[in-house]
Amino acid sequence: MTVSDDGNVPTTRIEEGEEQEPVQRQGLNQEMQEEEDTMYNDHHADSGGGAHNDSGKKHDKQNITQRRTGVTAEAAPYDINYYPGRVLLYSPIRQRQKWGDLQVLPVTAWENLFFDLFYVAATYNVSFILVDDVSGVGLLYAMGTFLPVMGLWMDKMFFDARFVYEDDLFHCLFQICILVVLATAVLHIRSVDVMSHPDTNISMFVFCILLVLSKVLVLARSLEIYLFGLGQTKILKAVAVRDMRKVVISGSMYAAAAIVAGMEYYGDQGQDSSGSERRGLADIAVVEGEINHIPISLCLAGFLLEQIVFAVLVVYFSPSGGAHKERYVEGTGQDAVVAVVPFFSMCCMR
Amino acid sequence: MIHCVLTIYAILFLRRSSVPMNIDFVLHRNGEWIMLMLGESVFSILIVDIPNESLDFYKTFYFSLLTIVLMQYLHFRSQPDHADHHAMRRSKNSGMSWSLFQIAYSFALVALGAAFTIFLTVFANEENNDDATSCRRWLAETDTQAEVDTTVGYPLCRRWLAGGEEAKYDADTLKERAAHLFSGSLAIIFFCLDCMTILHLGIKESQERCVCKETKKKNCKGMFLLVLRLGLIAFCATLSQWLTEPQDLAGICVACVLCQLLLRKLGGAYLSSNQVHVEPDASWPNVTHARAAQTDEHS
Repeated sequence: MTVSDDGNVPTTRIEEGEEQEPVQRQGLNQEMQEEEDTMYNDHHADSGGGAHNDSGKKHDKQNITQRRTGVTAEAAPYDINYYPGRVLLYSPIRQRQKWGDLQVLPVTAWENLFFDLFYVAATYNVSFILVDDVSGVGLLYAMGTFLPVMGLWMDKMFFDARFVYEDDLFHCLFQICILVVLATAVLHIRSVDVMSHPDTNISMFVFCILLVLSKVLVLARSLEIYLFGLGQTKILKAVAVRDMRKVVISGSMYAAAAIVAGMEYYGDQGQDSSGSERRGLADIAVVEGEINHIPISLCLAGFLLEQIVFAVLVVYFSPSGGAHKERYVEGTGQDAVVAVVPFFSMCCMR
Repeated sequence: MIHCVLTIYAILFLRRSSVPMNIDFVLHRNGEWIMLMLGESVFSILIVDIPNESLDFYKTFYFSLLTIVLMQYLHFRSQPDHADHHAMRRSKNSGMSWSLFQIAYSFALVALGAAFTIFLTVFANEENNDDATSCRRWLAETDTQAEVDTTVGYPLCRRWLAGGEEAKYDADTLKERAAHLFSGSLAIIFFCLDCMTILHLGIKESQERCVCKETKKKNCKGMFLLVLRLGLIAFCATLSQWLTEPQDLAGICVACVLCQLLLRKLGGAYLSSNQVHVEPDASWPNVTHARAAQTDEHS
């Protein structure tokens, strides 16, 4: 059965006599499907079955059947996203759709629009860096502050495009944590004069630390998908591991930047008796100190490295022709064969 | 050696499994993101406080505003009409490339907004410089210490003395740097938009719209439009070499964005997909069907 490259409903049906999926894979698929159903039903047995009015068992059963492993077109995301009359402590993250499902544009969540408001301030602060210092250094600081913060937005967008969760308290608090971290990071996007003196001003250190914290939160979310995600479980685990590895790349660079900035700021304490006085004035006026562009360079490098590594993995190490949508069971020899064959064929083409 | 290492990594760690993204949602969110970037430019233009606006200031202000409005049209006209025609739906490589261009495009929009702010604040700086010059002259001429202390005799001096920190660059250097920032970001915006358009269509299909694969016939008008587009990008990139005055740059920017819109309109006419050679039906008209039917000998 052919799968169209765009992930939509397949355009060709299985014709009579066409080769079906191998029996082994069918059996495995059946096992995985049963496992997913069990997990889904267990979850909804406690919580009352999700977004449906309790009009009867038939409707419940139909609803659960429709939303076996994710959210399909029949059960719109709005349906499970907001319950004014119910307090849900925790609801696991669910896969939004599967390959081949009809994709439905979700209703715009207010939280996304609210999240975007913080970026109004972020872009204003970044713009101020450029206005204040129109030079190569200004460009460095503008990119070094803007791009990592944009990375947070992209992380959230790619998460929301693939997963959905209900209106539960845990995820509300999680979102609040992300907003607080983002807001504090944006607050510390300051001019070049301030950020390039990490020994006298704490802004650079705080900015880097908050980037690290944001990556820790993204890592925690990936871990949640790995442990509790609902959907095609094995695929979710694989995706979560891949996302965690991606986060580690940029997170480690941000941590390095935070360490350098922290050493600059706290390293001067005790060596200079006028240190506290200098720091007190740092917010008001530029104070003489050593210029250090290493932290911001590391921040910029962290973001760029993450994008480059991801691009290389997608372009060179993902199968083309829509084959990345086919589900494989991890750990089988088939996986290794599939990984090797496209790579060598690409080498031959070069 | 590197290939071997990467192959081993691919075998051991890369999983051939992924969760699909809701492409409509991604496009929607990206549209909102670009609105944020454009909004920052609007914000930058509107919040500049100039005590005495001159004609040049108003020219710069309205040209900048027009640019942002037209840029918004240009962006959303450059987007495909349906998610199925988007680069992210075409293939993983085009989707990935599109994402990278989107990052550069976003930053270029922020930089353009910053350039507009600098253009408008240049007028305030010029006024400050005038104030400073006249204030210094007045201080040199004033005999009475009391007048100097209170500066009641010269209100402009009060304003200049209260102005705060000294500017990093003098007026001419600032104009020059702002012009470089402006022209560079404008060129990057146009370049990224054109690249993203090609990614939506596909390089192969784009080539086919210029030269037919079958007949080798060239679409001269279409190719001329492409040359014009490239020329416009080159012109924008080098604009700061010829002009530095904010009002002139802002005016030319409006003209450039209008040109881009016009080129897109013309591209729709001369670079459309029906320029591609269509293979005529090989089975018509030289197709014959058997007339005689097989008959059963025993009937």
